[in-house]
Amino acid sequence: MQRKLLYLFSTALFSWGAWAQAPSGSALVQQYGCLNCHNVDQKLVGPAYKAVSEKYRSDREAASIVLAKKIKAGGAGNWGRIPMPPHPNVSDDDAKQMVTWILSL
Amino acid sequence: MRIQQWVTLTIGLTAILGSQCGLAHALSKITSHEIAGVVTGTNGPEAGVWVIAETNDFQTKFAKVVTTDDQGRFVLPQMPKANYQVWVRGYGLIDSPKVQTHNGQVLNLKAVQAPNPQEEAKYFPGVYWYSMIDVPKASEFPGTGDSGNGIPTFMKTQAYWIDTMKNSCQSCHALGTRGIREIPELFKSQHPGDSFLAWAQRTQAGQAMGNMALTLGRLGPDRGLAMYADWTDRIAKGEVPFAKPERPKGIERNAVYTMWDWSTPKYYMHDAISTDKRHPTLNANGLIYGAPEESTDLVPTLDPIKNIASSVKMPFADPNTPSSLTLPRSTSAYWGDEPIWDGHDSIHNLIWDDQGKLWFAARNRGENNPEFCKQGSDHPSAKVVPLNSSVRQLSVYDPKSKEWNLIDTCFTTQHLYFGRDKDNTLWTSAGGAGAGVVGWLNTRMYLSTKDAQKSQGWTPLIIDTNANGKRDEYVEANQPVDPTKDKRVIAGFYGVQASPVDNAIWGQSMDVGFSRIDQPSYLIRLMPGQDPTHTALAEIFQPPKGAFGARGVDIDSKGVVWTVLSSGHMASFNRNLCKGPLNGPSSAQGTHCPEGWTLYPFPGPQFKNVESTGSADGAYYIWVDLYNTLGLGRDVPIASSNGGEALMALVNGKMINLRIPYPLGFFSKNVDGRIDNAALGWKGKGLWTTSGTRTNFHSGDGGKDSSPKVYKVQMRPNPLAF
Repeated sequence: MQRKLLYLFSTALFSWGAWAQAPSGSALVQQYGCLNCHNVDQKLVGPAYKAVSEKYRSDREAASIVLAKKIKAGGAGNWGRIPMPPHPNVSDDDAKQMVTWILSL
Repeated sequence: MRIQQWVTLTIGLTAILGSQCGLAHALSKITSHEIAGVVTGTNGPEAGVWVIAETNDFQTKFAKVVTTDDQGRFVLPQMPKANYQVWVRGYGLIDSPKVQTHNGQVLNLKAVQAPNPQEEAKYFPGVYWYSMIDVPKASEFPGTGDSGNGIPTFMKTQAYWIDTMKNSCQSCHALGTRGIREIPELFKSQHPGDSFLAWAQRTQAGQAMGNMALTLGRLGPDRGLAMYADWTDRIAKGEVPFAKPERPKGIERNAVYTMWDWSTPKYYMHDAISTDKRHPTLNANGLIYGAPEESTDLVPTLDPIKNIASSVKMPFADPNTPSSLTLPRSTSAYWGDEPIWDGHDSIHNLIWDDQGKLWFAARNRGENNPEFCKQGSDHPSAKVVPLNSSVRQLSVYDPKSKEWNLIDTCFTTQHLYFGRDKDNTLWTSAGGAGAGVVGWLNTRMYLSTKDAQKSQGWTPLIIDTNANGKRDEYVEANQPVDPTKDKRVIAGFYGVQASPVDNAIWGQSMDVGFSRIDQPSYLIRLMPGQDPTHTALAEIFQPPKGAFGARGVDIDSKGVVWTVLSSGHMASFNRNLCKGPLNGPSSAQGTHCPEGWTLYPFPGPQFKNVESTGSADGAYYIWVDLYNTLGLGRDVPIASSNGGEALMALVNGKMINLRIPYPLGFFSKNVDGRIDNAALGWKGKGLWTTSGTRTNFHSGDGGKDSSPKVYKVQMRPNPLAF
């Protein structure tokens, strides 16, 4: 029991440490310039993040994979005619983290 | 053949000139320092057309442009010895074949008439083309959003829209140039027959994609893209401008434009500087320096005597200073997937001090401010307004020692001008209207101590709404006026200038199209007082009804303030004409002195759907020629007319249009004037500026091979003077 508690505590501590060091999803969308086209609440060139979150509310797990790929490869057609350009310089981990944050809204 | 031409020309000129035989005599005396001649077309002499001479014989490309007089005669003066290509350009014409020549020659140039309206219009300034844009009618505002007319609800009036087009799109691009009014093949091929999507794609191209997205978001992307797509569709079908420009006339024909390439085609410039505005003989005949903004850390230089372009690398303090290299981008029609900018320093603006040092608004670290700027610091200014971030700071370069000093400031810098005080205070603007503070550096203290922290200060903008003549307790900008207190305004200087007649520092805060906040533009008069952080008081003045979008500021020797407006005007503001009180509750909105303003419409057509006295032209900045460095007189205001592809000078209430026709798409963001040798008259002085567009490759005169230019502008006593 003590070992389990110690494990849980150390895991939590490690996770917190990793979280504290890595930029959050909200920081990453700022860092990569996503907010030029997107806003949390309001449609700009691209859809509002809350609208994205709402659209994929029923299946977040699948959505997180699809959306992370879409950030990197770009896409068009789901939110009007204006395409989203590809962002090949975004790492897989950062893309996932940004999507996790968007879907949490 | 040359002798025959010479004799023919001389006889012809003598016969034609009659009363102007003095000028003919002058023409016959040209030397190895000039090239001269006459331009004729199908109907005889061509008056008011440009003659362009260009050479690649020097280390950097050199060109000169003059205008023919009423008899079609021209003299290209002060020509360094070289082999030149010479040709004729003008309204109603297409470019004539290029003639090879060299110094001392007299040429008989044949103008070529434009075969059709489309070919003729290729040489029109951009404003003639972009006035064809179908701007939404005034009745469509305020916008009704996505489910309505596609115009966002925050677009409250047509003026908001126009200010966005001019002070956002046109801040960076020479709208109407060939590279913009035509969609590149790459985007057409990606979206055949669908110019809406082609425009969507082109606004994502290159490293400024983020800026363009922000602007589209303001216009409403579907409505904005549809507007531009409709414009270029009509042009592709052969539609031409509904108005035509006039050829240069009167003293406009006296101008001499000299230009050099500098930097590289991948980079772009924001500003150039030749001297200290307060002492225009400083750096006489010396190097011209440029500010390449986001594109590179290489500060370009030009030696205009030896015709040599070079550069100096500006350092940055923090190795993690962000670079434009990492900005999001999509494929460019010109550069493919290559990121062409790699600038850390964000070198926006530069200025000479009276000791020959160059001061730059430039970034030297990331955005997070040092602790002394923030809450809890004992810095006097931080105690009043703590600042957590700044996007650009200061640097100073000594051309003699080649030494750089990087100066960390808590406030953001954009433009900068020196005061006329004993501390040689460098006053700065922040750019954005949301800045809320005005910052300065005591350069005397800084240079003697290198203590940046102690040498800087900043103040909020506080209006004396309780009318007691001093700064005291104030309510914040989002609080109602309290007659017992002062009131803060959240605005920021974009332009900045110290008054030559009193201690006032004037600035100007941007309108909604640039600031993206729902607030009008202001001229701002800041009286620093003894301890500016605690004593500075501000007055704000909105442009009068029907005018909007102030940008840039300068002051003449009588204290009259000059600005340019996105409503299509140059404007003066004379505070002495104000009839009512300049403080008190009624001054909080800045609407209290419409009588202080005088508006001067820019030349050129207005948008068809816009009812305003102004033109469709937009100007980036304004500069007042305090010392007659150009030759049109003291106190002449000169606007950087981006739609007119010109410098617009106001002389005795009349606009003098100094269009620089080569390369097409001249786009200046500021000028300054230098006197190299007063004894030489017009030959010993002139204005200096640079091409300020971010996309020199849009010009229409060349593409990826187009470097930024340095321009010198001089005014002769007549079109044939040399």
